[in-house]
Amino acid sequence: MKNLVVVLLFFASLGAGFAQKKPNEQLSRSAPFEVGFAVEGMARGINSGTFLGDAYQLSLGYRIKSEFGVRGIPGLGIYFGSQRATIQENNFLGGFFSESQWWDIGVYLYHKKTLSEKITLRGELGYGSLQVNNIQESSRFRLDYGHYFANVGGHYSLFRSKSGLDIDLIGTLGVGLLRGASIQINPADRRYIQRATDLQAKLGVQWTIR
Amino acid sequence: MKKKIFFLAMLLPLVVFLGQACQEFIDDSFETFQVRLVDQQGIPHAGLELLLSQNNPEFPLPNHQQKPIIYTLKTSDDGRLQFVLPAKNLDNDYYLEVSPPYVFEVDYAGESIQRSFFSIGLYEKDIDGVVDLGELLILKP
Repeated sequence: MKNLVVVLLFFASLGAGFAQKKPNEQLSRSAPFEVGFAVEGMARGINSGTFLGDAYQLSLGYRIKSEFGVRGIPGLGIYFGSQRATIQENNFLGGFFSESQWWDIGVYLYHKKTLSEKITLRGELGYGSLQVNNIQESSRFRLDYGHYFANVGGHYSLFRSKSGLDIDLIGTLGVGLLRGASIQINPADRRYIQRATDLQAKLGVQWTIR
Repeated sequence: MKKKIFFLAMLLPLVVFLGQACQEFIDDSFETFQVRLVDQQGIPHAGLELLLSQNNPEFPLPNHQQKPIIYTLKTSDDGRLQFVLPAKNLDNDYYLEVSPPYVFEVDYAGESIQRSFFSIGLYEKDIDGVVDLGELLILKP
């Protein structure tokens, strides 16, 4: 959580820095604002040889994100997502849990580059919090991970109105590092439990108001 | 009105505290149990199979109320056994069971008794959540 606040403050200070560099008049003429909202389906794979990779079989999940940007400079986005997982046989959860629900929340910096009228490339860099909730009837056991990630992808324009509403198909591929530094475990198993790398593929629809 | 707000403000921390204390599992926390199984001469039992469960063999419940076996465990060459579980606030009694002809010899109310299980109830753990149960005596009467 502390890391999340630090990243938010960092992004906020970046925004302030950019705003100070340009005079207000110039900003309003040459850098139109845009606000985006997207819903995406998400597939995630985690490397084997780690607790998260070996103990869980992930289903497809979803992600809802909202972003705000000014043309020419990196924009800021926030996201929220969820994914279900079945629990595989393992030596850490004691067979206590019937299912697992994963929650993602975080922030990212994104930048877009227009290739053609229809196609725009984008890159994202961010940090989030992943909660792995292992569920047993009314009880749950939560494991917290920090998630550092980088994504690349693109937009394909489906609809563009003169009034400033765009609808795009959006797809991204990403890689991330998961770090569970707050998880208490014996030293021999610490690396196995606390560290993992994930790959993500996301496909969805984005509405942007310019 | 002010009194009600004051009362609610005082009640909130209590509710939060009770909510945490009544939660069965402790988030972000695993417990690691370590034990060494030896015979009367102190020679380690290698390759011995044991079952870990939460069913008290002294007071067996009907089959449909019994909890599933947690782990099937096997001692290493030096008689060591280690298992990891999510840390719990509640319902954290575990039982290590050994199959015949072996029995545990344990100290019970000042007397040495032999039985097929060892009860792990109250225990202390270190900062990494490691519970060292020391050496346990297993006999083949």
